[in-house]
Amino acid sequence: MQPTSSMNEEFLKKWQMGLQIFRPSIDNTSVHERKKAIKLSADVAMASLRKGTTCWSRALIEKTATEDNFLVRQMLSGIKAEALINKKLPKKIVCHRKIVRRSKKILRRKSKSASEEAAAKAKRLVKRRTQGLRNVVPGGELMSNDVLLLQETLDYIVSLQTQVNVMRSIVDAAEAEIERTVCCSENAIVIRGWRDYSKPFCT
Amino acid sequence: MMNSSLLTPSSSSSSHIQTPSTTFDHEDFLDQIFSSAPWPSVVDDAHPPPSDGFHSHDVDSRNQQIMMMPLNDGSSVHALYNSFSASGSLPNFHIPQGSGGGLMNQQGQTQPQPQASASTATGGTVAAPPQSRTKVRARRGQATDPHSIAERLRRERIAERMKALQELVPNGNKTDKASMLDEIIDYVKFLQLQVKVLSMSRLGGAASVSSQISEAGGSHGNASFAMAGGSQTAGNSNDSITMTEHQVAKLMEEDMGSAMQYLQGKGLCLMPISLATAISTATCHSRNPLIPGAVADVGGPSSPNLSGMTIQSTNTTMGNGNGKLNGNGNGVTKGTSSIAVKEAVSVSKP
Repeated sequence: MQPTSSMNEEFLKKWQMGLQIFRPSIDNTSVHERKKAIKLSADVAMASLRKGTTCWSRALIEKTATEDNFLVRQMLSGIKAEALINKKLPKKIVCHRKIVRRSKKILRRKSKSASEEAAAKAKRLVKRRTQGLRNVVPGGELMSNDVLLLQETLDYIVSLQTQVNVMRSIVDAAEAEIERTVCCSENAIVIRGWRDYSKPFCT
Repeated sequence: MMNSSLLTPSSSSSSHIQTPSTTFDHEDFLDQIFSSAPWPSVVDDAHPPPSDGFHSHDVDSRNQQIMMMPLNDGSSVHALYNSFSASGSLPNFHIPQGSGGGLMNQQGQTQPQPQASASTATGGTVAAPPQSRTKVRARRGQATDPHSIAERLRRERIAERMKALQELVPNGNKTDKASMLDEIIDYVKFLQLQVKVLSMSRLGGAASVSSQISEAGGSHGNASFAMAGGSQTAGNSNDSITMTEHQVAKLMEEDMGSAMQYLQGKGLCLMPISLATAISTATCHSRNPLIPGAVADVGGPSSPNLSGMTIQSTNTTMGNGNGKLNGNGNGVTKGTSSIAVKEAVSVSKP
């Protein structure tokens, strides 16, 4: 499923609605505030598109509500806002590391044929990766099973893509505008292939 | 069991048998016949009609009594069917008992069951000796344990979603689950970083970006030099990116060549925005709208009047840019051309 143009438009509308809230104070704030404003409103816009159907959207809204409650309330006008903010999210799945480690050690002492070990290693890898995915996706800690996690990831990726598309097209349009009006000096940019991001990210 | 429940006098006034919902029945031809053949309303009768068929079977009074009782096992269905075929007349209620399986054994079609066993058997299996528990006829090649069924279902669902994710994520041709998950994680992180960068770069305004980065870098006066993509609020995952950028910034101040080399070592490159956008528009139309490359902004350290302008714009080719950036024009051009090639290669990979 690729982001459709209608999704782009909806996101843009909602996002602009959010940015309007910041309009009066936009000029006298630092870049940090501005970036925060943009990002937060974009996040809420993205999450509100899902109308509370997905877990990550609820978690994202909750997260932004802790930072800027007013914005969230304004953007999600209606009862939905209250419901979403006050909704009790399922408890985080917390495993005591010590206990888990001990039980794993006990399990490891059992039979270890070669194929079993390979399978166990593969399983461990997959588990580690799913844990990594839970860390990245908002609300991932709260998803109980893998199926749900993958589903949410799918939806989240599509939403992120729409967000990036819209932002990028705005940036391009603005750049074209400025190039026409202002004579700019030469600058270079740094481009990274997205694979290269993985290197520093590997933990 | 579904079959038997339909025969309870209380249950049905319907004349049809509902097909049991379990999957095991599909292969059972008897059940197919049951589903197609409507039961006559005689089913409700508590008393067997006094027909010829009734007497032709080996029925004792005990069976008659038993007929009144609610039927709880599927074998009774078969018994009825047997009576169907045998008598060819109105159905009779011949409820076999564990011991009364003689009736059934005559037909040799079903397996006798004790009445007590409310089993899932739907049996049209081969007549087996009386067992305390009926065996469930398994689907070919699949386990019957409910746990493994659930497990299988779960695995199928996961596979479905992995396939969908594979299409979404570029470079998702990995068959291995672990590496596919790895790609997914990286891609999500990449998208998140892109959003952050985009929200900071031009939307945030050049001067503000530059001042922020220079604040972070410690050199307050250097308003012209700015890098986006990392911020003070960056989480753990972004620290290394920020470090890289600061390192490059430092190197660029001293010597462009070394900065380029440093970038090369990391597999990154410097490129004018026009080229970048050209590449991105060229590649993005093909598969997915997302460009496999993030755009971060780097302002040249040379011109002090950048503060009023947006960083990201450039019209010039790399040659000019190099000339402005530092004196080492040749070296840089060489470096960049090679890097540009590398970058082009990496971009075209997906």
